[in-house]
Amino acid sequence: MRNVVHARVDDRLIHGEVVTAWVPTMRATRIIIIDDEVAKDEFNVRVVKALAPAGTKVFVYDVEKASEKLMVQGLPDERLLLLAKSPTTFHRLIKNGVPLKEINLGGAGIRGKRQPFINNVSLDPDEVLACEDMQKNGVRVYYQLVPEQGVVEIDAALKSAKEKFGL
Amino acid sequence: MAAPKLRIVLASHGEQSKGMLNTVQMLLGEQENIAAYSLYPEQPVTDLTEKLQAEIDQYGAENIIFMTELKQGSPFNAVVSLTRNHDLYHITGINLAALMTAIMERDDENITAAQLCETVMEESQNTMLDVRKLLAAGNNDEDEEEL
Repeated sequence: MRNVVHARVDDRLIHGEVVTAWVPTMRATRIIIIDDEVAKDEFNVRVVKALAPAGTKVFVYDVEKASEKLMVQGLPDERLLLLAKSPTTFHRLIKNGVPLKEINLGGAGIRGKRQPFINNVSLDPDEVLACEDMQKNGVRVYYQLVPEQGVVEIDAALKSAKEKFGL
Repeated sequence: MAAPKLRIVLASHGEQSKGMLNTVQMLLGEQENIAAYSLYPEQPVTDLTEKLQAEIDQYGAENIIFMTELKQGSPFNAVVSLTRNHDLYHITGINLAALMTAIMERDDENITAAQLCETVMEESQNTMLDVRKLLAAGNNDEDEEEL
């Protein structure tokens, strides 16, 4: 498997916090956006590649392609930062056999069935279940906005979200 | 004097755009054909995107220079998202010197949006300086070894 240094849920994808905080802190050299919709959208792919933060290259894959691309040997010294809009994306990657150890919940806006989960992260019932299933399978899912701020474990939020959604 | 043909649209996180408009009018007098939009916490980016889209609908993309303050910030991303359907002029990392240049240069009624962007970029190259180093360099002018 390739050297994944950080995996983050952030529906703004490449955004200020990622560029100014996470990329330098994790010394990421490649940003991999994993999103079925974005991967199909030529305009979006062109834009995120053109606007790659200094010192990085950006790649956009759908879940199936990412599952293959992440399991090869990779380049020496590369440091991958994975970005997805939803925890369900990482859940699918893990189900496909990509052994991610930690998932950082960073930003997910309220829309559709999403309800507030922790701070600026809102999740819908499927996303709550995806987080729970990842936790059960030994993946640490935690909330952290930027590296300078503290980590929040999600156990309490999971419990109350499950009650709220009647799961 | 007639209102300038090229419109300047500032967009920022919070009050910066409005503050810059306020400050620039303090320095250069009241300005026409300029607008400032803010994105506030808890507000969806789509609110801002809709306002910027309305600007394009009303004034035409070829007549507007968008100015945002931070590459990959939400206001920047909002403007970039509009390039899907419009050929936009957009400068990011804007500062007061750049805004002043844009305002003064657009008085030339023959200048195009592309030319205005070029001039703003050229004139803005050295507007941010470490003054301590600048002063130290000035003091060491006779001593080349120190440079």
